[in-house]
Amino acid sequence: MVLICSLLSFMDILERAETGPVCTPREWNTRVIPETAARKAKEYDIRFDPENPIVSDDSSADDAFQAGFEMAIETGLLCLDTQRRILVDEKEMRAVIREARSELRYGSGADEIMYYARKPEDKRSLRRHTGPFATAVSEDIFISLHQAYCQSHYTDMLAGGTVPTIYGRPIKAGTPSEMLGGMYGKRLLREAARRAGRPGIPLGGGNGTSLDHFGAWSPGGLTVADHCVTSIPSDLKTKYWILSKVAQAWEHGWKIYAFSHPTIGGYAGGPEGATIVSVAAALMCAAVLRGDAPETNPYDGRFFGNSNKEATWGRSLCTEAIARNTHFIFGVDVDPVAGPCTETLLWEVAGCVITNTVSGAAWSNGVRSATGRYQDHVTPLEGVFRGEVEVAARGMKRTNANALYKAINSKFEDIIRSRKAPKGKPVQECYDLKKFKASSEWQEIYERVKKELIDLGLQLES
Amino acid sequence: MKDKILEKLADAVLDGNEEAAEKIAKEAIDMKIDPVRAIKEGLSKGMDIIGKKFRVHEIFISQVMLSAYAMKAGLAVLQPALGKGEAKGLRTGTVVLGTVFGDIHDIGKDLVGAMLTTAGFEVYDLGTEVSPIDFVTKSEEVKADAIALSSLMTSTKFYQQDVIRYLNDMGLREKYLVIIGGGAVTPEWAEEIGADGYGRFATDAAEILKILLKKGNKVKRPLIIGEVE
Repeated sequence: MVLICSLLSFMDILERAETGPVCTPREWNTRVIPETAARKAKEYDIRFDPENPIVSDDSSADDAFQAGFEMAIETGLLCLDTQRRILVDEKEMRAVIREARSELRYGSGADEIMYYARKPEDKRSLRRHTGPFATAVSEDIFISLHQAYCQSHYTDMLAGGTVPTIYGRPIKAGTPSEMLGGMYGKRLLREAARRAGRPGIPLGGGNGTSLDHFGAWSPGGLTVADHCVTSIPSDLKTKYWILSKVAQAWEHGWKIYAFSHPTIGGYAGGPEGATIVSVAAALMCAAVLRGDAPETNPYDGRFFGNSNKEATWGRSLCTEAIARNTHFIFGVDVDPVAGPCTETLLWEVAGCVITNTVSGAAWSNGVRSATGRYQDHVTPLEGVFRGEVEVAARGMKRTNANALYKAINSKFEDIIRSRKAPKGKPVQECYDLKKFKASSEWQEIYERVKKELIDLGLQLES
Repeated sequence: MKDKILEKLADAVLDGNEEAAEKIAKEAIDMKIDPVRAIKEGLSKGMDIIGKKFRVHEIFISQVMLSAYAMKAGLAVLQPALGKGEAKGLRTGTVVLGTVFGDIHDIGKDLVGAMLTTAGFEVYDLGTEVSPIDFVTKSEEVKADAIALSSLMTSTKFYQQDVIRYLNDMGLREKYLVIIGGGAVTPEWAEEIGADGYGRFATDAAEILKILLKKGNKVKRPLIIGEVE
């Protein structure tokens, strides 16, 4: 019997998916989610504060946690296959929180690394999943690009990109090519890690359909030292194929990374609703998907990415809520709108990373440049930059971080809101994948932004 | 009195109240209000306001969807009372919409559906994980003007290509406009697969279709809206 906690087993979850209260997706999207989120926001007076995108008021974080906790208990998770709600009661949820892991070991050999829960203003490092992070990367440069990421000491886990073709043919969801692609992609990542001299570096798993997942976990692919990816798509929903991944993960002792990205402007409403749903989703990731490392933060569906003020506030508040009230090994993302070889990208990354670090995230994925939309629009340089900023931001007081964030934000907020953030250049045009060096243009932009950040008060190494 | 009914129809849409929209639409019929007027000055007026509020982020998708349902409920009562040709004249166009096969992401699609409805399109939303054949079958059934395809994943965008390929193979390509969007999709992809239009944001879909329907072959394909340099 696989237990989620002492009061809840996976079989309980499956039963509730079949017997829980009925609810149509339409009712869920138009009534249950928006109305519950709005009610909780009002009850707990949770309001977006544009002057404090990095939250330093602990009582707000605790209120956000309570609001999200109550929402999770009240709504549950909707199983789309059965159109029934999987409910977890308060006692069970408290047991989930109490019994969650606070440490996890990933990787092997010299690259073995311990993950741990962090708190706001924590002086310890957060763990960095660095890489193209699901962005499509051309087959012919896949290994060399990932090798470049692995060669950086700012990469604790390799957040792999998506290989769109196998031997030149498209990898298509729901077909045998997806299964092949799942295997192939992970074997390419292993080769990249080997070439970088880091054969034991942990890998982040794929999040295609279950075919990609099963392919990724076949021999030569992912192992118990890696991350198994599941998700709560959209707002507090699940499907049987997602739960099937979880079932397999338990059978093999894989560590489960469960993520959810409620959308500002989506079913949860504005930043307040999306943040409360993010907290609820973190709890459900742990309770239903048995997420060892839940990752939830709101994205802004109106402007994309998660670097603007509303998304930053939501991410800060959600992270602090979870960090202060649980010992989850909680993750967030670095998802800028602009692409490589632009100043805007680096400013967005700086803002995201400072927020994530001081708010108490245990780990973060990144950098998904240009929100991962454009194939090959990722370079290792922004991954290095991200690591440097994170080191400099450790232990910073949130009030100081907020002042710094606002100065940084002025460099990109209007650009994002105008919906004209530059997509930048593909890696082939701004990074040498034979010498593993940025182009002089991209290097110069990086040096310039670093200098400006130092002038603003961030203690980066020049 | 008739003006009051029209105002109440608009309010029912603004409030997202399906029951009220249906009830007041019946009252409009009983009071012999011209159904064209009831739709234009009642239901559509409410929907216009909703569209404007959504575009400035005053309201969010759930409210737009509820208003769209209310509008449909009112239309279901008023449309049978329209004269021949009047129904077609009121509609901006008919669109079959969905997220492609293998992809469960729905928010983008729902946003597009909501925006198309506010712009006066009749929308048939097939949901998520829709096969190419189902898109085409439904389009034939409802005599659609356009098929709108959403894909969030690199591995699922190929089904957008499959829809166009299937239309070509069935000799139906010229009958339908095909527009695409989603997190995995770019203008280059739209060009590669021979789509008619691409929009970066959900709010672009209605504009693209209006231009394509109005200007036909005078517009270079694919029509790209919202993309950055």
